[in-house]
Amino acid sequence: MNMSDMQFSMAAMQIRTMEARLTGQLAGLRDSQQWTGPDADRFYQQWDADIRGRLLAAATKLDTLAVVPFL
Amino acid sequence: MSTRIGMNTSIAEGVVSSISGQAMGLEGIEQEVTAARLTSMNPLAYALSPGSLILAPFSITIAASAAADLANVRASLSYLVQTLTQEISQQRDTSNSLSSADLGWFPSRVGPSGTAPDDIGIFERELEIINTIANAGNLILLARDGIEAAKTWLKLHPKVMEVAEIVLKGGKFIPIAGALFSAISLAVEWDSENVWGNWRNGIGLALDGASIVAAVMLVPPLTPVGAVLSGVLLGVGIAWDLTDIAWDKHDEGEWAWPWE
Repeated sequence: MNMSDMQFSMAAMQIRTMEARLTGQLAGLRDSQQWTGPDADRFYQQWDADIRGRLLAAATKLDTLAVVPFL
Repeated sequence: MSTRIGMNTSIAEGVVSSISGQAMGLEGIEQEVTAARLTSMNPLAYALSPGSLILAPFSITIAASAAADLANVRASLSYLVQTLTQEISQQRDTSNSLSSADLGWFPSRVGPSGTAPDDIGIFERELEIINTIANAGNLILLARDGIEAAKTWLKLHPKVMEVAEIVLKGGKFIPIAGALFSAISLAVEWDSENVWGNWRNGIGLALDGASIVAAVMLVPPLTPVGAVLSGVLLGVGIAWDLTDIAWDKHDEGEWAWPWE
């Protein structure tokens, strides 16, 4: 079963929404000093390094697939 | 009221819960992209839309890369959640150990024991499929090497080949010899008072004759089933001859059925 251009765009949008929601949630915890300490620092660092960038990269690639003919 | 120093386990649990829920949505997206990528790799699809031949490699690579990104994100999220859950558990152990009601408990002093997941490379899963095919190919090569080794061994032992050839050549004459014996049996054992015995010998001769006809007339490759048919007829003929011998012995009174 193949994904349509629209489905690729929607998947990219879902990924961006998810990234924004979780990043906002973590930023809120950090800025309000609710979650601090080594565990929080490590979590924020891994979130930025391993997850955020890849999520946004995947969304960009799915957007590309939405405009490029895809079989 | 005492204040506990350490991580806020309630907030950390909230983060774990939130991430776990979002990761489930990612799984569905990754599966769809993976399915689209696998479908796109069907060469037949290019024949239906020839213009896409130019863009297909680009699209396939982008889709594979996106799928790999999502797989990596899911693996990293899973690792983060597991590590955080372990830290929450350890924090609780430590906090509880400070309580006078829990004198017997000593908290573990080890850190999170999980290791970060390895990166999943682009096309890595496709390469795993190729590895499986390569293993099957190795088995075929192994079989080929076995056949080559057997051929070499037979060349080094020509006597074995000579005997085999004689047996194979002799095998061709088995139906003719069988037919000859059947004809002799029919003539020698002819008994006008034992009609069924004559029929048995006649059927035996007919089966042997049919086997010869099949072997001679139905020559492969014109009729590939000729050899098979001949072999079957020969087998049935031999079985019939054995039955006939036993029946003859019965007629001669050498054995009888229990009800006789």
